[in-house]
Amino acid sequence: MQKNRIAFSVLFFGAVFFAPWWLLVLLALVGTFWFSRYHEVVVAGVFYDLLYGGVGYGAFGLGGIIGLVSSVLLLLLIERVKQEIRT
Amino acid sequence: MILRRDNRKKHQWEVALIATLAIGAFVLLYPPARLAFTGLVYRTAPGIWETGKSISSAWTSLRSTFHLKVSLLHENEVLHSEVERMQALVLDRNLLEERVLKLEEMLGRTVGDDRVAAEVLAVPGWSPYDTLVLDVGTDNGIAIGDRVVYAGRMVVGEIVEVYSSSAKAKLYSSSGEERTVVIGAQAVPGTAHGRGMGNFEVMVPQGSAVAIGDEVRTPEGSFILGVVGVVEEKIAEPTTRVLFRSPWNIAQMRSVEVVLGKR
Repeated sequence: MQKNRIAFSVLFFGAVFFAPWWLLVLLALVGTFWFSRYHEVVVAGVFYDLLYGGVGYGAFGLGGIIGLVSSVLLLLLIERVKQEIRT
Repeated sequence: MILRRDNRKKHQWEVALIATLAIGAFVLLYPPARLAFTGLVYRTAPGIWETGKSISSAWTSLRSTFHLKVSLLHENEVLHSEVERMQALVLDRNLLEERVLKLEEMLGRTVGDDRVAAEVLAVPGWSPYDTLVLDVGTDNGIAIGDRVVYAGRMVVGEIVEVYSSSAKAKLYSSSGEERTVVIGAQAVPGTAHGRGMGNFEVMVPQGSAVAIGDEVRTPEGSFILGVVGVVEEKIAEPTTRVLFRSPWNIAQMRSVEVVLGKR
């Protein structure tokens, strides 16, 4: 399982360079569902903001932290959903 | 016992998540930290993009050898993109002709600018940020504030971050961006607001001489931002809403030029 997680994370971080944003969201969803407490998605969100964003700009006035905010919200939401499914 | 261990694990994970969030927020929101980390990322990122491009074009060549139909489709896409570029060039030539006439009136004063050709490593559409990543940087004389143009006189944006061999440009059409422009032959002034991906909106006084197809230029007239696509006039309102956009697909830009500012 650990090997799968590492392989998926490598694919995910690679996709940050080449994939459109909507595919990254899909991969993030898959990762957070498939693996337990997939915090790598937050690191990828920060990496994404460093790569494409900047201080003082970005859509919806989020000032270049879209990746960080979305990844944290996605992770918390999916973990909550997984908890509800288990109980 | 097992419940306590699970709770401890969950608590450890929550602490790790909060720590990651705090570090991420510090790196992204504290400008010196952001600049330092972005510089680190941009030491390797251009190489990765260029490797990806090489693999992609090698794969395309290999596929077209065996799949003629797919090759023709690809060629069709390339030609379509080229037609768009040529249309942009025609607009540029119109502007150039106007400038030549003005220069002739001024009896031979010459105007020129220094430019650096750049390949686009990453385009907007891949991200919600409306930024371009270019393969030129300080080693090529690029500096923050330099304008990025396409097909001669079509201004796209300006450099906002620069590293030794790469640079990031923000599109003028980014959401939240504002720019003074002039529209059409009558040079109707207005403030253009970016709507993302080459789209702009500007409000002009009711009755202004603005029509679909008019060029929208920078105030000094040197560069073209786009072409008017929609003019929404409502008789009861004092202003007219004008929507204009770049006459080419921003997501398909492969090469641009950076106009070096006066140093």
